[in-house]
Amino acid sequence: MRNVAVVGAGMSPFGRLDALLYQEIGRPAVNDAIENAGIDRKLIESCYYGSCGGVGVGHEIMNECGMIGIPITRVVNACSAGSNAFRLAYMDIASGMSDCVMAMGIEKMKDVSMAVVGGGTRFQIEAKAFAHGSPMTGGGGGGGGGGMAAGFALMGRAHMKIYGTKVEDFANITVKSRRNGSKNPKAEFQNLMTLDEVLDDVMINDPLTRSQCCPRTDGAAAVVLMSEDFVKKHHVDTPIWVKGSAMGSNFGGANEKRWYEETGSPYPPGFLTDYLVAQKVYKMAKVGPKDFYDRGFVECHDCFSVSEYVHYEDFGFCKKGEGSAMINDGVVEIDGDLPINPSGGLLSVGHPLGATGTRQVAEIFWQMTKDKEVAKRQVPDKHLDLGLQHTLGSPGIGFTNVMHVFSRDL
Amino acid sequence: MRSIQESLITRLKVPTKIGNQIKVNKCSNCGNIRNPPRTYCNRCQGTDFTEVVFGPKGEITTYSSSYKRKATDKQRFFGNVRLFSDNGKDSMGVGGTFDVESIDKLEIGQKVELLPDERYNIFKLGED
Repeated sequence: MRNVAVVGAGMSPFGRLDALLYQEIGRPAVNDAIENAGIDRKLIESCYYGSCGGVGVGHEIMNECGMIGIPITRVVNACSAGSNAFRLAYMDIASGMSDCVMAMGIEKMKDVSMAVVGGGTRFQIEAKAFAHGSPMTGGGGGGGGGGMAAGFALMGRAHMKIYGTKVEDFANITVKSRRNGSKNPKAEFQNLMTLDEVLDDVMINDPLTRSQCCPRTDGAAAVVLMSEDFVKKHHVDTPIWVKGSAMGSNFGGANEKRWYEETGSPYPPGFLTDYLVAQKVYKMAKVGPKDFYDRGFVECHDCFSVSEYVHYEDFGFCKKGEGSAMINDGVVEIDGDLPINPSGGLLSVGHPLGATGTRQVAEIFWQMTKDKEVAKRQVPDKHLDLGLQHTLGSPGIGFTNVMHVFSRDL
Repeated sequence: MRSIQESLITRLKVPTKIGNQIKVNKCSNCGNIRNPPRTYCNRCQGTDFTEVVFGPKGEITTYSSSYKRKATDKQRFFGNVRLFSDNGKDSMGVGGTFDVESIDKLEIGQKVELLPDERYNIFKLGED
């Protein structure tokens, strides 16, 4: 396989953008990515874009950006749609098919139909009674199935029982998220929150209060990828290399499903698939969890506070049951031993399904190139050697876990 | 003669909820529990099954509370239950609601019993 680098990134403001057309959200992200890369847009040979709600919207955006005629592929893969678009763009170049590709993601959440999150609601707060089926599978029985928040709440409760985790431990993740989000001018939520404010917020599904659930956000993000040959040919001075790309899924037959079928409990309690995909991407990138402590940082899928918490454990950054020290002792702060979600993550930046993965890659690119975009939240130098990106799509319905490792060194 | 569409249906037209118990299929080849029952095993693709009856006894594996959009909305409590087969050899995870007035009444590991209801899995607290 050929070496592939990210060479530019762009992003629209994230938030409620009802008044805007898809083109009006996506065009600035695409054009900013091209400008950031410092290349002629005619170099871009193909485009993959994540969007769960908009059929053909990527084609419209690329047309508005003067790039119609190239292969354009829409990727629909729940919360990992953007990550999968990036992965396909990476594979397109790594395979030798193309030399310069755009990965983009866009979403207007009002157009996304996900029965499991109760579609049409501002927050992912639909938690109805279950009949057949289950909260983690979205079920659908007469009771309407459960919402995503419900599934993570159940996971949080199990974690509290098994490991003695406190509601404050989960809530502190939102406090940290808002602190980082306050330094991100494109985040949906830029307000600071205290621990008491998070705990006293509207209860969605116990123990998750509203501010521990990511908002349904509109937005777009785009990145430009290049082959090593093109990086040299076009004298790109700050390429960020893709060192690992891994993906996993799970529904029916795999261990995680079997565990659930037999116990009715989430994998104890976390995501076995996350663990397995992390092992795959570490192997490909020839790194381990400790390397990120020494010289890396992470953008991961914190759709709920509980989600980020269990990722600490599933990625191997700490043992099961030791995630509380990661958040309470400041390990995951921007200036901590292992910065996690310096952007503010999904909890503060927001979560347009198709755009989240490319937005995370954009954050990693900007951090590692010390771009002015992240000036207020710059991760310290010693942590800029490695970046880990992760999304978790449709947990319980048909996991789509995607992870990438990035490095400044080839 | 059956239509092509009918020939492709794999859902078994049998009542799976019988009173306060749930009847499902267990694959004779790999032991996979299939709920709701189908004509094939989704793990090994086998087609030989034995029937296994689960419930009414089980234990809570996790729980939470429903979101109240309006103050007048009924507060419900839901979660997952490990339901045991009547022969005690198997267990199966199911979701359901708990017939309690407060979340403080619930605890992981607590014994529960499935109530007779054709549509929903509703559990009452059992005796230890």
